[in-house]
Amino acid sequence: MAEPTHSPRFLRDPEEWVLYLAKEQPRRLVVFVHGFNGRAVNSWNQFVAGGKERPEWWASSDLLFAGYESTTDTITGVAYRVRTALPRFYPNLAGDLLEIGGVRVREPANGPYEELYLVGHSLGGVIVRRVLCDAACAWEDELAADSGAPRPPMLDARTRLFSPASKGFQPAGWLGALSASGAWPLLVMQLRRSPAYTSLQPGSEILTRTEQRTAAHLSGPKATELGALRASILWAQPDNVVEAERYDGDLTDYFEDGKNHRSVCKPQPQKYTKPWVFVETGKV
Amino acid sequence: MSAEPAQFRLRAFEQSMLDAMNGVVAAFLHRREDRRGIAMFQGVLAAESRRWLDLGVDNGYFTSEPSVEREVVFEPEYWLEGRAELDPRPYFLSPYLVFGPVDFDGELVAAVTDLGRRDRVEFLYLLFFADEEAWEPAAAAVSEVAGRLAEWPQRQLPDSLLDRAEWALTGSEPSGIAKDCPANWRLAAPFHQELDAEVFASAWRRWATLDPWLRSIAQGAWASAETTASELAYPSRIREEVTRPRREIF
Repeated sequence: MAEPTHSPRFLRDPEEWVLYLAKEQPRRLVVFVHGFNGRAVNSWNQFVAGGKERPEWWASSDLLFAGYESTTDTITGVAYRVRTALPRFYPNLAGDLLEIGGVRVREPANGPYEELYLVGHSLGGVIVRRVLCDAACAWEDELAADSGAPRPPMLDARTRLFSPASKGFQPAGWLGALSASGAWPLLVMQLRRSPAYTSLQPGSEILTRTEQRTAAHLSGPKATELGALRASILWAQPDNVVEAERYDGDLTDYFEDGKNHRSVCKPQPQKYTKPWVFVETGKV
Repeated sequence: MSAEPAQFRLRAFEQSMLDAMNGVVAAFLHRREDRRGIAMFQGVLAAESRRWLDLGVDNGYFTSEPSVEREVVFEPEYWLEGRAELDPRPYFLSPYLVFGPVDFDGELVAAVTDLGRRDRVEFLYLLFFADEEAWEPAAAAVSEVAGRLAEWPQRQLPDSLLDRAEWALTGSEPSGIAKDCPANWRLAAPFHQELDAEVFASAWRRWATLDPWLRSIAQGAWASAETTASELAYPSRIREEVTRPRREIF
């Protein structure tokens, strides 16, 4: 019987986050941020099974699944939560997170993680971009006061996005199909009560500003140290939910035929392994 | 002191699963007057946690003889008072499958996180356990939304009304839950008929009081919107409603 390579640890602070601790000493931390109305872990389906499917990389990775309430939380609010919580996990995992009830799941590491990966899907992609953009802004402020201020550790990240909603939802996308139904007004009213949904309208201020600020950082004097702001992207093809358009500064993007907006980020052992490969390498 | 993985998982289970269940129970005890309904809800959650433990042992996820240090907390007077008649077994008809530890792990996490959201817990409570005093105003709010929109589809409805109807729009999420895992009872109505016939009939009667197209939206929301972003737009169960003329829907 195959022994799981990770053990889940449910976190109360931040609430609804789940940390999958690798059984062996990890080399890296991979942080997942789900999309609109998703769940911390479920939205990523079998990513945890990477420890068995591709053990050389995933068995030595701790996996942190960030949960949030997309129907009530704002993009900037979640981004702030991620940015302020992440130092508890990276570069050094807080020791208390290795223990439950006074029992330690593995020995503490001798040093910090070697690598950080930030992975976002759909709305989660926008949140990841905002986290990094805000971290870069904060560093810029620190540099203004102290030219030797060190780069924040989270800017070490390699950024992987699955069908990010960076340019917003398609106006005639999935909701368009429902617009002919009698249910449409109620659905719209429900969705408009969600601040994140409102922010995902194409051309919204938050989407525009996040892109503009990211571009400004990538053309600034510290651009070479801000590789985290250059995302690798895997789009669903067809994707009828978001506008499949990357930022100018992003790395190469890829399209996955036969996957929809929802399924593009959900690996399946032996059937659809590209999400694992994409997170590992930024390529497919 | 380090732990064997199995021991760690048992402790994780104790701490997280039971805390989630206790949290659910505590939240309701403070807000609800329906003590019998709450006690029944407690009993079913306790039975579910016991099933997770048994299944975990079968899978080698826990040590062979787990001793659970903590149990789901009950309010004794309500639980003991009606214990003889509060039998959770009708909620667990199908024997669960023996799946691998990784699958078990995933389903357990899904079950715990699924219990963590207020609206979903509210949905379960109202559909399966609430007395009529609690159910009727909740169902009436949904009917009122339906009625107002039927009269004037483009009208804006007050947030207070939508808040009261929201339980029907953000229910439990079936995706990711294995068919025969211990949490499956939460998905049983209206999608499956795996509950005891009487329990199913009762839940279905409640579900059926909702207006058809709202029910279909709730099913879509139940399946989660992001999911289903695509699924909301094109699922067979909604497509049928969408393509019907509205005069037939109402």
